[in-house]
Amino acid sequence: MLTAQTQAQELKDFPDYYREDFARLIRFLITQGASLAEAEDVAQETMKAALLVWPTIDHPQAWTRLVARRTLWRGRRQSLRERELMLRHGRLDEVTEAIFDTEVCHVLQLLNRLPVEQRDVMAWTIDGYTPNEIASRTGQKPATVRSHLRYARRQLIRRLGQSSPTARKEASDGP
Amino acid sequence: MDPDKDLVLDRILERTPASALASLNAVIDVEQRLRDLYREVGLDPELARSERPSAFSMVYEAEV
Repeated sequence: MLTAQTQAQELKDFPDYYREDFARLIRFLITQGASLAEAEDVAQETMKAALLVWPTIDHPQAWTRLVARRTLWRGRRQSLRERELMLRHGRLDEVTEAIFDTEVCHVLQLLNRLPVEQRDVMAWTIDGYTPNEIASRTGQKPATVRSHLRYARRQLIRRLGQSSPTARKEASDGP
Repeated sequence: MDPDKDLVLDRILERTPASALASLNAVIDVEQRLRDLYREVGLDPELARSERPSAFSMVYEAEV
C-alpha cells in the first residue's frame, strides 16, 4: 500500500495534465464521431486508466488519445445500429448540438459523413498532430495518413461549397 | 485543388476547434470530474488540489 506522501509525489503532475487536457480529449472524441455524453464517459474512463498507470506514461496526450479512440471504437462496434445510421447521415444528437455554435455543428456534421479512416485522421489533425506524428501514433504508413487527409480535405471542401450555412442562407434568400 | 478553397477550409479548421473547446469548457466542470475520478480510484480528492496559485490568490496576495 502506498503512503499518501508517495501517492502525492507519483501523481503530482496528473491533476494539471487532467485540467489541461480533459476538455481537449472530449473534443477529440467528438470529432471522431462521439456524442457529448459518450465522449465525456470515454474521456473519464481513459483518464482513470491513465491515473492508474501514470508513472509509466511518457506522452500522456498521445497515450490518452490512443486509449480513448480504441475504447470509443470498441463501444461503437457494440452500439445500436441507430447510432451508426445517424453518423452516416452526419446528424448530431440534440445535447451535442445544443452546446456548440452553428459553424462547429456544421463542421462536425461534415466530419461525421467521412469514412471512419478519414474522420480519424481529421480528428488527430484538428488536435494539432502532423501526418508523420499521426502515422507513428496509429501505426499507419505516413503515405496512408497523407492519402486519408487529402481525400478528407477534398470531401470537406466539396461539401462545404454545397452546404455551408452561408451558402444555404444565400440560396434561401433568393435573388 | 483550388488554393482559395483550401484556405477557406484551413481557416474553418483553425476557428472551429477553438470555438468547440470554449463551448466544452463552459459546460464541463473539470474540477468536479477530477475530484470524482480520485474518489473513484480510492484516492484522497485533496491530492488533486491545484498547486498553482490561482489568479485570485495572486491578486489577493499582491494586495495584502
